[in-house]
Amino acid sequence: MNISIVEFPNSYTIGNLVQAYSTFPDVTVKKIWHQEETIGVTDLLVIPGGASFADYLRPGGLTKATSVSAGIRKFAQEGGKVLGIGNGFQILCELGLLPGALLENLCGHFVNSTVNLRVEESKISFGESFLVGESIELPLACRYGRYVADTRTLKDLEEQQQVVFRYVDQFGEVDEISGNGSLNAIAGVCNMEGNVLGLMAHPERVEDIGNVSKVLSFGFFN
Amino acid sequence: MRVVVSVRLKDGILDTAGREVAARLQSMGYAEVTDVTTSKLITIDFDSGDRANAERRIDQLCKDLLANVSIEDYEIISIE
Repeated sequence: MNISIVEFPNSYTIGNLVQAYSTFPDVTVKKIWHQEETIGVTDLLVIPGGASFADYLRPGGLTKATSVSAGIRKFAQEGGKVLGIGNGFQILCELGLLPGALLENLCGHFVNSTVNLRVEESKISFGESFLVGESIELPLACRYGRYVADTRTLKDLEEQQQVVFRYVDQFGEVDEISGNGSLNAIAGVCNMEGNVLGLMAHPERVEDIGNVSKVLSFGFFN
Repeated sequence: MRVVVSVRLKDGILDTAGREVAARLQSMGYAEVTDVTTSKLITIDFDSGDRANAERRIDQLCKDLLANVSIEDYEIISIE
């Protein structure tokens, strides 16, 4: 399996990603610098977390002006699988590949904690070992993690099964507050076609990667 | 020419910075403050002798980059 990771200035979680993917069997990881124009052949394209371009203007905003942005769009529009984590989620929204946007957390400051995400019934299947309704515990480290979208977009997301993860409490009940105030407690969404996924939490930072490998591999491994 | 553009969150989207500033002002005794909205002011030096063309170009670059129009409104404050 070939995995490509797009690197922008200050994409500081790349090291965690490379380390996480190094634990996968038969995986080759390639970095793509933001000044490159094409993605090439790869099984999975990952947009990493961090604070690309130091979050100037707004998180992910300046990535629209990079050479690689057209390549990311083309790769996604041709059906390639794209995973955005943290800032990568913000970038996919900015590029118009995912609906909605991410704003400052409801609490108004950086949140560094562990959250529970419930796997929702969606267009993305992570396989039988990662069931709908199951909760996973993941690190969250962000200031701009409050998912917002207009009323119609939210309705469409729910009806089209594009909500992939939702913040829940320890009992599996929906929890909008711990999840930084995201509307409908949305923690991760996919596009209409189900080949682009974004989430704010960081599976690559989990100590036991095996538990979350289904997220990091977009369901390739089960 | 010098162009100043304002970018702010659309009405109805919670401005956490504005909320916090309003709360602090009220705590300082400014009880008459009911709400605060924050915005970004962006100053652009623009090489164009044609004001109408400049307005069109600025409008486009706001849509392309300066504002995320799904969540933000922008306004050209001045062109001098």
